[in-house]
Amino acid sequence: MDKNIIIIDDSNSIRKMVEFTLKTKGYNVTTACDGQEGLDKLREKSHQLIILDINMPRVDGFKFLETVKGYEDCRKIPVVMLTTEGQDEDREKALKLGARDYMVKPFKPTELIEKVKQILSNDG
Amino acid sequence: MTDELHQDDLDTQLLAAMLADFLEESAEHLSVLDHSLVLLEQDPNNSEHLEEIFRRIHTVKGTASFTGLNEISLIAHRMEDILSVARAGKASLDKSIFDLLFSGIAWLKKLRQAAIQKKSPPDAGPFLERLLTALAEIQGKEPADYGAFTPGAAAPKEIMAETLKIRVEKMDAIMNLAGELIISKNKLNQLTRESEDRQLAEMTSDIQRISVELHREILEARLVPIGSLFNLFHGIVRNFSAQRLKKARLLIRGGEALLDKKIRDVLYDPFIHIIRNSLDHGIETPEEREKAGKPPEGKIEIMAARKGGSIEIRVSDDGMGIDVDNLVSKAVGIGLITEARAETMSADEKLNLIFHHGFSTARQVTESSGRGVGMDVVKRNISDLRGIIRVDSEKGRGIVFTIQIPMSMSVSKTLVIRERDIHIAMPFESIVETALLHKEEMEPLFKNKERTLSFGGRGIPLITLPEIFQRGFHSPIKFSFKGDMDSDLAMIQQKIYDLRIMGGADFFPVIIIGLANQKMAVMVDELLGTQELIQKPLSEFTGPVRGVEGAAVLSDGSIALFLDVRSLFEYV
Repeated sequence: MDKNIIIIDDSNSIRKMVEFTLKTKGYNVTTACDGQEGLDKLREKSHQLIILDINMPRVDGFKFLETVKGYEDCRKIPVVMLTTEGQDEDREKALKLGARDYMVKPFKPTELIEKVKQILSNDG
Repeated sequence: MTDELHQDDLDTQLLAAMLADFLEESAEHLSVLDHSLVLLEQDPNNSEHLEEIFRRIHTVKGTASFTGLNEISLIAHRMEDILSVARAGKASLDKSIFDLLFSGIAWLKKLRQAAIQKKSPPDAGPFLERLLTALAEIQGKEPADYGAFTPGAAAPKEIMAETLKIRVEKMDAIMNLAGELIISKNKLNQLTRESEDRQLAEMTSDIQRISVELHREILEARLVPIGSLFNLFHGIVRNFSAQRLKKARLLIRGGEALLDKKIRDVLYDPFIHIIRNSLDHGIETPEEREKAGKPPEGKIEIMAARKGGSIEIRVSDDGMGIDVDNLVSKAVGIGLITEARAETMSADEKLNLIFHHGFSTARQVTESSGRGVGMDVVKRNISDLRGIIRVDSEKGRGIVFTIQIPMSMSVSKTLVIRERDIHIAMPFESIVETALLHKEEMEPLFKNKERTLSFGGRGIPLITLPEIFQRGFHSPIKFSFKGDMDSDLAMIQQKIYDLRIMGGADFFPVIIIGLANQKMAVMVDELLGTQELIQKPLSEFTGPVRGVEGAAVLSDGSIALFLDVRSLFEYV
């Protein structure tokens, strides 16, 4: 089955980098530039993985996470948070809210591929 | 091992692409940051601005870190640290901190520029030290009187429509093709009118509608809000006034007015020039201002408003204005005008001396007389966009520049007229009214040396086009309707008039044209009707022709000259 991944980040260049990275490995990628757009696009089709930034306009990563965990059909989608160095509290908060894992910016594109592969294979 | 190599390649490739994206993306972040920082400084308790600044700095930091632009990432990181102290309500941002944050943005711009030009970055070490010291200081400070701040409480509104980036050259090519389509459509129209085929007529009317709509859509796609240009000036006003020990505030209104991206980009230089002049020569020091009974902080205002197919922009300051007498005596001093000429000049003409290119080469003169360095270049830039610039000033009170420019390029709605065997297109936006004057009204006008027509309660000059074109061959003679009419020209006038009377004309078509607040009447042979035309530049072989700014293909395939309305007003 094709795997659909959504990347939600307010930085255009990060979105594009993640999109291209995952597309080289054959994943389908949807992009959203903030939590609100993410919530809208999440409903358009089923997704197997969410990659989520924290600081974003309108709906930030935490609010997005809380909302998604309240959706019956989406709550089980694994979420990888994109954090930056020093955001330890944020990282903890995200994990408490139900994020599966996190990446610390900057990461190498291939590290992201590894992480995605690993999570998706665990999820079957 | 091979797999590892492959992975390295992939990483390098993807991150190189990301660098290009980041350099593009960061331009917007930095421009908004500059602007938001100014707003925050004016209203330090505004959590919305603080949140916006924090978020953008955070994004710049995070994104830059991927691309190897370490200095950018580090500076943004320290700025973020300082902002988060304020964001947590643990410190207030005072003037010194704002100064530092503004310098931070300037540094980020500098480093970005170096990355674009692939130069080695300037040494940011000492500045990073300053940021660290400042951070330590504010962390030690007492909590300030900040209102309760909840993150995310007031998220800034942004337009979240789907967008697609198109290269400018691609867009230009598309627009040119749509322009060609309009020309072909005009020809098709002509053929259809000559034939009686109903089906062809219907088809033509469809194509007519579609091609015009297509062209309009393309033009609209090129429009950007002019505020995106104005916002760049906040940081400039701030830095410039600080360097000159002056206080000045920039106020912007009407930034939502739209204009073609290309026009906006060309406007950057002239505006920077006007603003620098304001800060150099217009706005006084706080002490001087207080002596003159003005508030210590000067004001520069930029206002934009749409006027038909044009945008009018007023840039004003409340500085010392222009000392006209001084300006005139300097102009006489450097031989720009004679004393006799100076005596006959109107106040407006005197003020407009600042646009004379003779002034720009006399730097000392202009600096001591208050204005003018490079204003000729400003005027030329605006003229190249088919725009006009006017100046008004009152000594001691300030200065106002009024700039009028078309909001988009290319297709112009025009009135096509015939003058002898030449077709001339007049841009619609410059036409106030058309009228037919009876020969009995006309006759006295041509007998009188002061050929003015009464319009809207005031006298406006009446001219004919041959005068304008003829004038090109009589260059050194100053033609004036107020007494010293050149005899050759007077003769031409009389001949034109006689010819028409002999041709049995009872009525004379007259077009009233307006530019800013000036008006004049132009007598022509015949009004042919309106047409949407694509203006093309004249061939480089002809060079500039007085009174003509381009040419266009008419629906019957003949050529029309585009009238340069501005030059008409310069002529009177």
